[in-house]
Amino acid sequence: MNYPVWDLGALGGGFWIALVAVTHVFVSHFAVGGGLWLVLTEMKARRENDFLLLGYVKGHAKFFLLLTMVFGGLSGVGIWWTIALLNPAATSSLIHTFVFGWAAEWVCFSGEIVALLIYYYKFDTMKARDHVVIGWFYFVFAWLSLFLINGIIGFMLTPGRWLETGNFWHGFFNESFWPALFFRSALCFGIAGMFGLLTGSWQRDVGLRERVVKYSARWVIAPFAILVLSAFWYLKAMPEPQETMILKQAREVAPWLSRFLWLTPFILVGGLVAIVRMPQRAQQATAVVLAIIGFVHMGSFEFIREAGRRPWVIHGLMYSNAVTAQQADELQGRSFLATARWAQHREVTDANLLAAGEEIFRLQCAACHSIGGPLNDIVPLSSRFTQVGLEAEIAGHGTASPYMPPFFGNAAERRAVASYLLQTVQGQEQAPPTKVTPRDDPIDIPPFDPQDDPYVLLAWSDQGLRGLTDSDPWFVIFPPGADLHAQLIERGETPDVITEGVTITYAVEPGFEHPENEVSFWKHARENLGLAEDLEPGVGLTGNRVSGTMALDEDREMFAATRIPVVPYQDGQFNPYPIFTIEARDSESGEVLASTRAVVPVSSEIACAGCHGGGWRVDGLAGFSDDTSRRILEAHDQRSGTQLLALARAGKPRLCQSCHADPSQDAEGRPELLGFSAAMHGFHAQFLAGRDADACALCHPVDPAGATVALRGGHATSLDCTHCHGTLEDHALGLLKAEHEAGKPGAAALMATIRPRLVESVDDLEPRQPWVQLPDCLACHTDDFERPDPVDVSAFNQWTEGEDDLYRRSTDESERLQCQACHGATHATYPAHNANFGADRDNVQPLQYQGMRRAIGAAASCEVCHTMEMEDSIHHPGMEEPAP
Amino acid sequence: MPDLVPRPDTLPVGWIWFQLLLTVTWVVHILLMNALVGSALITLIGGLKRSGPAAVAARDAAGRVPTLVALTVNAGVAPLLFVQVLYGHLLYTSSIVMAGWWFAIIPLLIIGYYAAYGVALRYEGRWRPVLSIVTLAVLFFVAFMWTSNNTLSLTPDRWNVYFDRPDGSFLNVSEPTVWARWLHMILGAVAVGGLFLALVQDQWARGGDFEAAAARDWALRIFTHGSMASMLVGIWWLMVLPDAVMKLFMGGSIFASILLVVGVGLSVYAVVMAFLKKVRLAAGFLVATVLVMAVLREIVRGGYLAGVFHPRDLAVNPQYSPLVLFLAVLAVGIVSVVYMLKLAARAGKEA
Repeated sequence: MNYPVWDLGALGGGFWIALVAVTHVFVSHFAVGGGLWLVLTEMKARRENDFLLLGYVKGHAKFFLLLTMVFGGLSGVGIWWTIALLNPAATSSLIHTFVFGWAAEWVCFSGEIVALLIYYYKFDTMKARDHVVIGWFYFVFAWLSLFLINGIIGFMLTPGRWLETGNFWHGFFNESFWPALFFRSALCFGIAGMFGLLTGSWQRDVGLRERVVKYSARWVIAPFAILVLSAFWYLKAMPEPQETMILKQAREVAPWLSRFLWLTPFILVGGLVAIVRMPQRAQQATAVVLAIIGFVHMGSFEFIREAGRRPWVIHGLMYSNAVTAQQADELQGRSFLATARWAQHREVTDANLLAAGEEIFRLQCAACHSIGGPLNDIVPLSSRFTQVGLEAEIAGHGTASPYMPPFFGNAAERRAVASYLLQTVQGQEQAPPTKVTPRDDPIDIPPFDPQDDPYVLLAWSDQGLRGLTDSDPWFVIFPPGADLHAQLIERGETPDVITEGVTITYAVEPGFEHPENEVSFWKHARENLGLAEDLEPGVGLTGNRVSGTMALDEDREMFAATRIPVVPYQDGQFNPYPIFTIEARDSESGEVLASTRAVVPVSSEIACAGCHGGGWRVDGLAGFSDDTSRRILEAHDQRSGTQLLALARAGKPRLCQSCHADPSQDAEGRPELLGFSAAMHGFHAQFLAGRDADACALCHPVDPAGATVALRGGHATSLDCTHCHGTLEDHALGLLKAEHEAGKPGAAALMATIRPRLVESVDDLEPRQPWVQLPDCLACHTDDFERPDPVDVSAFNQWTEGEDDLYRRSTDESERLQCQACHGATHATYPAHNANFGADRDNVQPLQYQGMRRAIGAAASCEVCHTMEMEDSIHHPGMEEPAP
Repeated sequence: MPDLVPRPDTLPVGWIWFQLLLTVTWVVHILLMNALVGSALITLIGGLKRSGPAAVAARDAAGRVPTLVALTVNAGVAPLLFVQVLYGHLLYTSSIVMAGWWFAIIPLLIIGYYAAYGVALRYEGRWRPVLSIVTLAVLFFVAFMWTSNNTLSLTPDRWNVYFDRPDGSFLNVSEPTVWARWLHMILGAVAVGGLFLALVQDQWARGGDFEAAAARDWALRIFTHGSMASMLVGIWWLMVLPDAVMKLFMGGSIFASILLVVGVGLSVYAVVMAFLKKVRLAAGFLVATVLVMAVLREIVRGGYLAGVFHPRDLAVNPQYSPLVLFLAVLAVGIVSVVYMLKLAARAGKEA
């Protein structure tokens, strides 16, 4: 951000430095090892009076001069040119830190040049002893060059104590200095042998050729043990972050690591093969192949070393995009464009969105990413995301993607760079999302005669909304299955809860009767859920269908139909609020005693597609398309090393909770893995940090502009998700903390990437079990269930102790009436307002029994059940409060 | 528009160390570069003759060009290092503004270098004229890039052209001094190259080699004519300098003005010595001239950057032990090189 960035387009992304550096490094290592080769071979020739060999050495010296001094020398200067153009800030830092190291290296380079020129041009005219002395001078200067540069290059990977002290020597003799020096020296000598083979195998004299080839092959073989041992030492010398980056985190390093590991033994094999007596053509072919192997091997090593620095160019000091650690701290929460010296646009506006995005890309991304080029091409990397997804992906840099520097800038700048990549680079058109057409269908409210009707039937779904993932051919998170509960109250002076002699039935409204025709759950249930046999189409996991008889739950004095397999598709159209008719009958006579209706909300508007792309399956509003499902599995496979996509393609999809424990599915999962809720929230919090309730709406069907709008109860008028659950970060950390305390190994790593927002530190967070420990109603409704101040209210971090304390399992003070019977389902407490599917769809019972939308019995409506005037409430205080 | 001048890094020792090292090493580099450019030109034009002093000088020059490339590049590394320490933040930025051109230097130099070897190793080959032109063209190109970039690095007000052309395709040709500066340097280089070869030929001429004496005289003419042309262009350069900079040499700064007079005087003296065929004296005055010109060049740099930057403003985080390391290595290096040259000098004499 201190310098402009050269816009290279397709040839960006480090292409030039890779090209220049790898070729230079190969030749420059030859320049070192080849120096020793020359002088030792000359000594051998002179010692053995082998004039043919001596002549060959002179010829080799000419080849050596032309390759190392011309190409090697200039490509070395070329590295300066390249790094100064591609990363001037890092270059400047290296120059200023090590100026006298570089200057000393220049002296050695000068000594090399002078020695080599004398060595070649005076080959025939100098005294043998003098000439050999010159040869040794050359080698010593060349090796000292390596010694000096090795310290500075190693500093970039492992700056060690320099970061604290700024001391030249601490930076120079860093953690990787000695192993790298041994490793590179071994490479030098091996490469010298490779070039000896190259020139030797072209010699016409058979005897000479055989001697040189065998001799050079030994140069390839001899340093091999040092090469392998020092490579191992090198890796072990890495501090933990660098080692982890090389072995686990840096995505692009994997193929290079693999090449390096594969090619290393081939160097030895090549050397051994070369030593075998062969026809000249075979010797030449062996030499060429071995040189190519050596080149790729060296290149692989350099790529690995570079990757080990990720996301830094100088580890701990400066990110790859030249933002320093200090600048990164200063940029926290600030505009990048307003701070960057070389930005033309100072802020993002609608008018400059794409141009500003291009500028941010150039300044922050182009150091490593090309556009359509051979290295780190941003096009395929970004093409799998939507706008929202790409913004989230970018936000996850530095945490979820630890090999990437964090994105520096604000949300508008993130939006700008994502828009630039999707619209300008990829040419995508941004279609506005499909909007549901709100409807206000008349709600058929059953009749109730407050004078004569002897019963009040209350029914509710115990969850404000049940999720459904109809991604069954690929995986499943939430299979169909919603619970419906009911309590029958016999009216009177002292009303009674009736549990005997009655039968409660339920039936879904028309259009929802055949869920088996709407989703493919039943086709894949056996594989997904690990069932012993296929599930009968239309039958849920507890044997219930969408219509049937409810079972008595004696302990709770209520009836329940569990896991009703209702799906949010009414004759193929998305409708997340199917209405059920519930009837209470005399078990003996079959006479209908009471009847009511209730919504059993279930939604497949689970917005994975919003980020992962692939689009919705139904009506452009909801459901998992195959494309979305595949992309999710791809992402999981890529990050976690699983093979889920291949398994699914082979007809073996899985319930996510078969690995990740989840109490809501009674799934124990694999004990070493994070639970489902902690994994999902913890992982995604890295991408969606800094947001409020909009973060929740990116996945859950609670987007006020979406179709379902699940948060529709009384709380929705003044609260959002975060008032009770906390922000995504806090929410995730609470779950992860519980996992961490339970000894789950993955929790700490995720926790380290997330910062709490509503509390000072993780220590202040109460750990919680998903679905068991949820916001406690009593956190806000303290003294006598009074209405709290909606401005300052927060139930976050005040969790229920156990499952029985949950709102959906709690009762009034008489301990007979379920809270939800009178107040409605979680997230849909009376008075509810359904945004898109009929405003009173969730208010049927208050309207049926009271003619108003508030909770049953509110505002002293005791007459719903009581046939006499009541003075005090045994249910809970405050029932007599008038409507607000 | 924000201030585009990047924030420089801190120094390990006082700036004057680097200024001194920069100036001295730059003089060495520029003398070698001049010898190189002159030799390359003489290789080309002298090589067009089949015989005579020009042909003799050309044949000798051709063999020296590759070595001079190696030495020039090597000697260029040090001032490049030290200029980055003091002025890197300016030079990096200007390099990026003209990155495409600047980057081309490296592959072209490799081509030019191999072409020089092509000429040296196969002097009688039919590709010699073409290869000679390639080498010379590359050297002229590199010189222009340096002039263009150096000038651009001193004029941050021109940098915002980057925002229209971030691909590095901009070339700084419209700045008023660029062409004069380049031509002054090139003509000077040709002249000094002539003197370099005259020195070489003079060695043999002193031994009674008449052919070498003729070649020396021919090369000296290149020096004298080139020097005078370079002086004229130097006046042009002086005239087109920004007013504030030019006035430094017109009495605005007594030191600068006197130094200019001294520099011009030394160069005139060198030319006069050349006319008198006192080659070594001419060379001595020439080296002194280049030293003075190097200081004048620093004054020009300071004039351009007045109010923008001066290296004395750089923060210092002192650490002297690496400097000691360098000086020790330098001493060992010099002793080693001298020893190697001594060994080389006795080659063929005792064998």
